[in-house]
Amino acid sequence: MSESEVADAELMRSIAERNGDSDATRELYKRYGRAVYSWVRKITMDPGKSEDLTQEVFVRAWRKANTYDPTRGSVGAWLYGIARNCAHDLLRKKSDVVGLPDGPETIDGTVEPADIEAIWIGGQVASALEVLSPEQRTVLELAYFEHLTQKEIAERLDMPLGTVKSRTFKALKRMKDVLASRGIVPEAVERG
Amino acid sequence: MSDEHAQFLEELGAYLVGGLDPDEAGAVRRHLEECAECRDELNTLDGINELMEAAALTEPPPPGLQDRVMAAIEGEAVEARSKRGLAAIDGATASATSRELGPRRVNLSSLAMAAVFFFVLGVGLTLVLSPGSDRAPQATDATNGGVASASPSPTSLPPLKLLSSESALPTSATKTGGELTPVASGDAWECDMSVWGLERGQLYEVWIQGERGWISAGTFRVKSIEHHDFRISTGASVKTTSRIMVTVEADDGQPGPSERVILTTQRTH
Repeated sequence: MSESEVADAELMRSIAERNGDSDATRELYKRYGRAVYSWVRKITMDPGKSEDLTQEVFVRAWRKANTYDPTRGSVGAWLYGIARNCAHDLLRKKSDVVGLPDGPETIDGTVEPADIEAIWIGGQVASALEVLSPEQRTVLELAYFEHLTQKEIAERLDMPLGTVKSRTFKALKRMKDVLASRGIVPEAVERG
Repeated sequence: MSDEHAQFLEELGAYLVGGLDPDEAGAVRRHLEECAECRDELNTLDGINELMEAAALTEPPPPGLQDRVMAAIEGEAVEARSKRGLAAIDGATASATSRELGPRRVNLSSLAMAAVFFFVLGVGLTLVLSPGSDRAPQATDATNGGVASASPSPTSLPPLKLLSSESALPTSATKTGGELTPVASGDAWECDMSVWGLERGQLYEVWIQGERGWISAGTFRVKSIEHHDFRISTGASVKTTSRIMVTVEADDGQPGPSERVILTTQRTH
């Protein structure tokens, strides 16, 4: 983690105390914009509504910044609650159905809640990539988002295969630290 | 740490992302059976691998969305600041702002001075449209002039055309425009405004040219680039002004209009 990176709770404090610190608000969007947008995109299945809902989530977060209590949970969880409330409101308007029953669901019910939760976390993970160096970020983006093999990445970047492998390893280790700093700790997978 | 071990350790990332060919992956698997340190490392990184796979399910927001979100928040901030600032000011005067969004650095003293100026002098100015406009002279209202003489029932003047500023909109001038209809209700003068072709996400400000310079009539944002209707409270000066314009503002606290004039209308007395 970059030493200059401000913790989430500190960001919220800046937003609340300075009555809407625009730099802090922009940073909050950088960290959670992708999670919020991807999540509401799955909920609404509509790009236009997704933009409107994303905007609403951040506006509400800005308004309620002074209600965030770090002792009660992470900023991500707090923002997730706001996003769910916004989605509730949208569903009420759409079909008079009150709320999202047990977990998030799409308006047409085609997305499983587990996928939705994965998207919420995944959005935060994708945003955390920004903290990596461009070299490390690139190899992970090519591997996970473009599904290139290590050899293909080496060809794309015109660098030795060994360098790509080494960089991938170091990038994953760095991601582990960055995510831990943002309260995202993966469960270790036991192998025999 | 042996060189061989170090090599396998660095290949764990590539192994996890499925980036090794079958022979390489087999060699890593065999090493893992013998090396507890590499197994521990793999277990840790596998959790990150799953998170990265979740990240791949997401999509980035549209490029302009961040600006749109920030503009909406800044609009709320402006509104909040204005509400606090206007709390001690007479409500009727303070209403010289957009209905849809809060006022932004409205020059209240200038607005009030302009209203009083026109009232005291009983301004006899009759609005005459620019050549080509379809506006008719408003003899009764204008010659009676002033805020106090406005009809108690809603009275509207013919609409004014707002034309795009060629310098500001070189690419979309033909699609950008607006219309402004002054409406008097009792002592208050407002304007129904329609604009089209304006970008979303920008903060716009309506300005009325008074005797002492430009007077802000409020700010607005458009919900649709195609068409946006709203009402602003302008005060009586809208009846006598020679010029009205719409600018794009940066919300930087500058008291005067920016140089980015988007729409403008010209009147002659």
